[in-house]
Amino acid sequence: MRRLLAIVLCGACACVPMQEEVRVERGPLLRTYEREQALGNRTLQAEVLPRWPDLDIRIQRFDTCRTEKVEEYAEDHITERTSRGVGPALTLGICGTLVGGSLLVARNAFSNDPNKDVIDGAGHYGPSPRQVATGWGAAALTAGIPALAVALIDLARSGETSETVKADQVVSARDNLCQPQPVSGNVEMLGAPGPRAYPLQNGVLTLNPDQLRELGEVTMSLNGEPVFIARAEDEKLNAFRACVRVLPVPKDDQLGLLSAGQLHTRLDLVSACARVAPEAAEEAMRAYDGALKGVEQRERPQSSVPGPRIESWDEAVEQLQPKRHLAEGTADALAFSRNELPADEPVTVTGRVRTRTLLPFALISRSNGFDFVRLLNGVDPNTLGPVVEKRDVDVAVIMLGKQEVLAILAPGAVWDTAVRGGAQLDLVGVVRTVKDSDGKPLSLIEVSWARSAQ
Amino acid sequence: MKHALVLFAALAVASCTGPAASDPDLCEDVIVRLCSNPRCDLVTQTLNVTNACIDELNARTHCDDPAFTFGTGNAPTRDRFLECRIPLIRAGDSRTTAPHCDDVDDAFTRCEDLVRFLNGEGQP
Repeated sequence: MRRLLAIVLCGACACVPMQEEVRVERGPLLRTYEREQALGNRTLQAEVLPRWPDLDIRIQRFDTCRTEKVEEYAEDHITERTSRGVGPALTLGICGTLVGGSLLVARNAFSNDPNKDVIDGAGHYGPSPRQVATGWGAAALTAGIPALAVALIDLARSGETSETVKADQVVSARDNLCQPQPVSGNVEMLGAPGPRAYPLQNGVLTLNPDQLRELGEVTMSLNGEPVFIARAEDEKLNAFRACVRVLPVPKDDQLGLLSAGQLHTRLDLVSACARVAPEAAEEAMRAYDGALKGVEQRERPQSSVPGPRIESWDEAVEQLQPKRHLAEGTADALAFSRNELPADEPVTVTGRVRTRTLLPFALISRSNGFDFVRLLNGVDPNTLGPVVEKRDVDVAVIMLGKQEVLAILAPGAVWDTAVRGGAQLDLVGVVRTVKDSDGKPLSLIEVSWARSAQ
Repeated sequence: MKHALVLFAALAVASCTGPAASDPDLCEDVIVRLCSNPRCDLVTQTLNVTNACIDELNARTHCDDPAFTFGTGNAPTRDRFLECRIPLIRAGDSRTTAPHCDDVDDAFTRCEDLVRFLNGEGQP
């Protein structure tokens, strides 16, 4: 019976809900370490090994390894258990037990005479005061003792427990290729006009410049599986492809046919090539650089004003010493419109900018030198002779009243004022005489300085 | 523990009622109730009592005699008396609580032997 009562009491107490709150407090940093884990996504990767004039591409199968930086902390897991019923149960238990016990203990102090003023339906007197006290005492004890037990058990179950554990926190992670494995088979090059297959020799594919030129883009697969090229390897591959485009250096007579723009492009490619073939690139750099200087020497009279750099209007006037002035209604303006002013004649111009535009010109090779020709609409410059260079020239259309004067503006020049549509300007420069593509002579002003009209 | 539980239960039950009332007290309880003011006309007419109602009924029934016992003379048995008393205590357990006249009528209708006993008449 006692066991049954204990079980029932424990069961009743177990039904009392306990509030449980777990608090985590981070402790000190114990250590920092790195752990590596293979992700299992194995891929074919190409490694570019420049060996000018040949290019080796080593293909291997790599796994991806994730390296995590982990900080290990001590963590306190603090569990707080409380019960909201403890207070009321304790109050009821104490009061009930005390009152009930007191009534039972003191029951003899009450009269045992029945209440004769009351006779119930069965013919019994009413209970005596001792009976009433005993009943209330028993009832109070019946409620108080279990409540007290529940409260005491809950109090015993309440409290705080702490557990210290180690906790990991990943603070950074990086992926890199790892666990290389050699591969073999045939490499299929997909960038060529048709599929080309090359066998791997000890995991390495060797290509010569001619094969690279033929391939165009380098896209590979090995036994049908794509081969990936990492960014760094791709940069080396592009550098090698730059070498293929500019090496070997053409002979001097062929170099002389290249324009300044073409030579600039080739010099850029040589600079890129220097990363993978420094010795060959250095030699090529000297050759292309020399050729560029020769071209610039030839083209200079056609495109720029000789002499030292001009920094102001006064310097320009002092250096050029113009005697002629082109303005609305002047005789010099009339002579200019008739192409009667001699080439290289220094002039000043006063007029309003109607517009600013780019006009196409071409440098045509002649037996006695070069012609600088303005290309009119619908004219193929190749019909005019060997084209050394095509160039868009920055031109302002200056209005002298109703007369139109074309003024060539040096690229990037900064003068006293901006040359834009509607501006009233003073210009100083020299007369250049070129041709239109239909063969007619065309006079222009190559501007050395510009300012707002005074 | 078992005895303790039984004891608690017995105490709880026993605390609701006292010992059996004596026959004179039980009989006088009914007389006091019937004679309590306001007394029903039915009591006055049926039992033919005056303002000294309690004394007159005690004189007829001898309930004020400590030796009075139900089931002797013209008195009904205790069980029959308790059965007839039930309508008279509907208004309350206290002996000074006057019963409702309907309850008096009910009691008199169901218990002619009680009426005869209160009138000092013998069993039929």
